[in-house]
Amino acid sequence: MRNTNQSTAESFEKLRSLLLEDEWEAQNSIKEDVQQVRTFLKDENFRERVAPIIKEHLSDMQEHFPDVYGEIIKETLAAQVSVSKDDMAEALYPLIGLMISKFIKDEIRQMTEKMENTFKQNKFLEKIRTRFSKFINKTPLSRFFTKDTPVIPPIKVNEIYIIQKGSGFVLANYSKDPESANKDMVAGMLTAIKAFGEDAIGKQSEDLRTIQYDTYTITMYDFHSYYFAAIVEGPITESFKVQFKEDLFLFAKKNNLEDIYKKNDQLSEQQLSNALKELISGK
Amino acid sequence: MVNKKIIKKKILILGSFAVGKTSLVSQYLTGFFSEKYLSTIGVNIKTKTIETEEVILNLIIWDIADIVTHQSIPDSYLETSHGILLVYDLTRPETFNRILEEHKGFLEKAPNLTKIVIGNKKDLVENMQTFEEDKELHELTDIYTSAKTGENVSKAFEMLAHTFLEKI
Repeated sequence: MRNTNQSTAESFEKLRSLLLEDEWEAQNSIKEDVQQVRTFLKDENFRERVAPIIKEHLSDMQEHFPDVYGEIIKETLAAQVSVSKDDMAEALYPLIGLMISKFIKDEIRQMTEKMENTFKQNKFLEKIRTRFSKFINKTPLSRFFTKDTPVIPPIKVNEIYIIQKGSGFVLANYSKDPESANKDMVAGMLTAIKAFGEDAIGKQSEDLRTIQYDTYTITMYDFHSYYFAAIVEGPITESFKVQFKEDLFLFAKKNNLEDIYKKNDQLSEQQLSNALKELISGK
Repeated sequence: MVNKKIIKKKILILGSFAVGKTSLVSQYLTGFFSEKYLSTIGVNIKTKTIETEEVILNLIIWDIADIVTHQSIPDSYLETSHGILLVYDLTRPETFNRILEEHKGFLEKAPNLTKIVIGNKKDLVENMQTFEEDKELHELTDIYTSAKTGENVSKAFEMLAHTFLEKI
């Protein structure tokens, strides 16, 4: 019995060595390779030898980066811009608006300065200017282009809304009159009228700007995905419109309105409504 | 104050002339402008706020003047809406034939909108069994209401609100 067991064990061992011989050889070869790599890495000269190669590769990459990766980056950027174009437009709208507003103001200032100088240089025109100025309480000419003459009654902003385009949802609002009409309905109706106008005229790029009722005006200012609507009492002047729009651009920037849809809770809506209150309190 | 999430949903109510759309919404919804807006501007806005423990759901209902079909409705109305209430008159067969067509049309044009089909004027129908036997119509109809008696009116709007709240 013992002999039989011993013979089986020997046969098994023989079979194992036959079957695994190749694997053992491979294993030993890998062990040797690993050992060689370890020795190579420990070599103090390794860094010195490798550094120039890496440097050369980096320099080569830097030189050919636009050729190799330019197209991929261009495609990635284009895709990213396409995905987030609405967010970008939302964020850029107030900034561009402010730039345009500033540009227009500068242009008007330069134009009036030129006119003032022309009057000063020309005696005949200067005479007319002096008489004209005397006639209207010596108001400098430039004021006719940059400031309003006093109006009675003064312009008052009674109510202001921020409304999502299309849906007509009120994003925030403030009214000086506590008994004003239901805000959702006012916003909905204004949006419906705007949509009607666009459909009737057939130009989506054209926006309804004002609706006038005797001494009251609903004035609307379009931003990218929302618009401001203000109920104004008193005769609106062009400079009021320009100044108010500039105030709204600043308001949008200050209150991060590009993120307006991310904050859909009571507290955020209240905060924004308070900010609107502050905006029109002096108006 | 608990800072609740605010959810706003725009709903269009559509159907043929005199099916009771305006009566239906007036039964249920609070605060609306004078009905003259419907005939002058072509739309009237009504609102309903439903408050749960966690959210405030604002339903803004656009009651659109007759006769609006899936082909004639302005795209801007549809694109920014979340649901449609399609109303027909149980006493006028031509109105529910129209609803069958319109439902198909809206399914194609605005597949993602929640649609509730309402058979109104239940109070004028003596035998509801006739409608229940009309398989196609009965299967399409979500609820039978009476704007006059108020029967099932709240239920119809709650069905719609429920679908919105479920998706939160």
